[in-house]
Amino acid sequence: MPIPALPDPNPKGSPVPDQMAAVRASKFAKVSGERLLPVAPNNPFLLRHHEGNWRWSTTLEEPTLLPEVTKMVLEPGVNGVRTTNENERDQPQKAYEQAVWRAEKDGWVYLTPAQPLPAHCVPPGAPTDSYLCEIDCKHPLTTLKGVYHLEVWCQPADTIAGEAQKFTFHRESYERWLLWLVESGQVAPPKPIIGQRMIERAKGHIRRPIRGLDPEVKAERIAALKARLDLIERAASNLPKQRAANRGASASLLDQAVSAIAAALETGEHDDSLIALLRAERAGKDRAGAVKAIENRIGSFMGGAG
Amino acid sequence: MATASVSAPFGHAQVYGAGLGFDYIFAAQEMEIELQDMLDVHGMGVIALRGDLAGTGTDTIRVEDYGNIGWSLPMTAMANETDTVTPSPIDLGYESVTVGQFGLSHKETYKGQVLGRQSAVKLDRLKTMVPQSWLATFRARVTLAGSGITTAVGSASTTLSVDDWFDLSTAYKTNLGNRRPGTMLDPQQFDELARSFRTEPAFTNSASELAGIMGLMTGDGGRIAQTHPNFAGMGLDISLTDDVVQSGGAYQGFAFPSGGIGWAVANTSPITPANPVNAIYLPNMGLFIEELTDGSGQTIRGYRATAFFGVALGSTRVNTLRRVISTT
Repeated sequence: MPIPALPDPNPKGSPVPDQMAAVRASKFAKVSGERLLPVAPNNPFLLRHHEGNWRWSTTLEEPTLLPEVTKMVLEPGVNGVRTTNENERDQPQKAYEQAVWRAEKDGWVYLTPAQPLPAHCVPPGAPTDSYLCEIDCKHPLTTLKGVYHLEVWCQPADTIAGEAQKFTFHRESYERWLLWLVESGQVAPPKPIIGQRMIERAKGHIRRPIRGLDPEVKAERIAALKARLDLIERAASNLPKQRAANRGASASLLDQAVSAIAAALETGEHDDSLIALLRAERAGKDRAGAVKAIENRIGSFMGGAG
Repeated sequence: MATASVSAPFGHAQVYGAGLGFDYIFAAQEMEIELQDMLDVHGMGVIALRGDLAGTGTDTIRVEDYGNIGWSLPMTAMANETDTVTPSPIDLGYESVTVGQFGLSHKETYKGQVLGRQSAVKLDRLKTMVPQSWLATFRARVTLAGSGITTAVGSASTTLSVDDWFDLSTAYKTNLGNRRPGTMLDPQQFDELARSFRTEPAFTNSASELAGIMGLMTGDGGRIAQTHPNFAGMGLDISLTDDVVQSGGAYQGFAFPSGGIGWAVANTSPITPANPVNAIYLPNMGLFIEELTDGSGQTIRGYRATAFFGVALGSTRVNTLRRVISTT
């Protein structure tokens, strides 16, 4: 049967207005603009390094030793971080400054989140303002909204609805950042003993007798361990160094009087090497005024964290 | 109510369509709870209580340690009968534990109380589960503390293996004086470790040994065990939790002797709440649960739980602590 044609809603000359012109989209069809990561909110963190902790690179073109950097999560009730008092509400850093001070006495080196990162040290498209990033989130069960803090190299992955949110870690840019920490003077280069210990440990894994193992499996395991040993040996013979340009910048500023240093810091021109300056001053003249000026400059960036 | 004429045959669809049927009913069994990480670190007794800060005027307690004395200080052999014995120094140190404040609350309306049919989500029932929330918070503090240990075994670039486990064992064999150590690992780390053990000859040639390594163990309440005492007979206890910190693309598991991580509490018995009716004190947890009165006059009832406690690493002069790291 032929399908009849629909009547023309607005035939020529008809006095009846176009009914379709009055149609509008239903408010129920509007999609909410809210896109929140389905994870529980968490606290911010600082990254820090201890001189005894190093790792070997796996993605860099030239194998080398890289500083192992770990989080210190700024959660009250753990490792010296406390809940601030009411009169400290505008000074969130009061919660953790004592904990940081004690850890520094134990040899930890803290990396300020105010330090911008070079573009080649972050994943493509990621911000370069800081290693500490945040994303709006909503707990998938309690619907509690908040902020999820994560490292800039840690990226939310596509996840199927109903599954726990997963993350990927961009190792290539992370290892470039770790190398940059040494080259820029923020972290001291490793002592040769670090590489020697890694080599000895890897050799010990190879020496461990594995009797009774199938010869093919044994050969495969030994080959994998030897490949790792080779990588570690090459890394240990190619230790990262601070670049001369960065050493020069630190030296010229710190040669000046304390008042001149404080004035130079206020210009912001040395914000990308504050940690290196602090270490150089403490290792050199160790003037209380100079140390205080540098720490205050660092602290001016950390006031909003926590 | 209007009636509906139901024509023959009288089927389920007609009776349902007349408004006399249900879309669903509820099962008679108890409400099921979602999958949860139920590791009770506090109950294991390996985290040492350092002290109670209530009434002390501070939120920080120092745990003192001393050394270069006793077993560490042998006597000096005298070359001559009149030689002077030089007085020896002693080493003094301390570690600190700082308490934090934690909170949790729920609310329900009077209408919800009147009409609600499921007792599991009523306020009084939810209050009974606050100690479990406390234990989860405590466990998270322990894993955060463990992630701050300086020295590590394993590598951020490789999965956890038998060789790493042997290195951990060596650390405790060569640092004498520690109590029996336990470890806390992410379940992914544990699975990698078990698979690595699986390829060892001792476990590939024995079905029962293989089952002991790779088999699922059941624990409390028939749930899959989260604790594995003396795993693979190596003398190290393993506890599994999702709370293990991830940093730099690596899991930050850790090992510590019993008492190597400590905690402090501020018992809540000094609290005098605005509404003392139905207040619950658990001073040994530093936990206090109070009923809230809603000042706006709304028909709402609520409770608020407040806790004061903190966790921190013990001294490395007294305990051998190790992070157990592996790639994510």
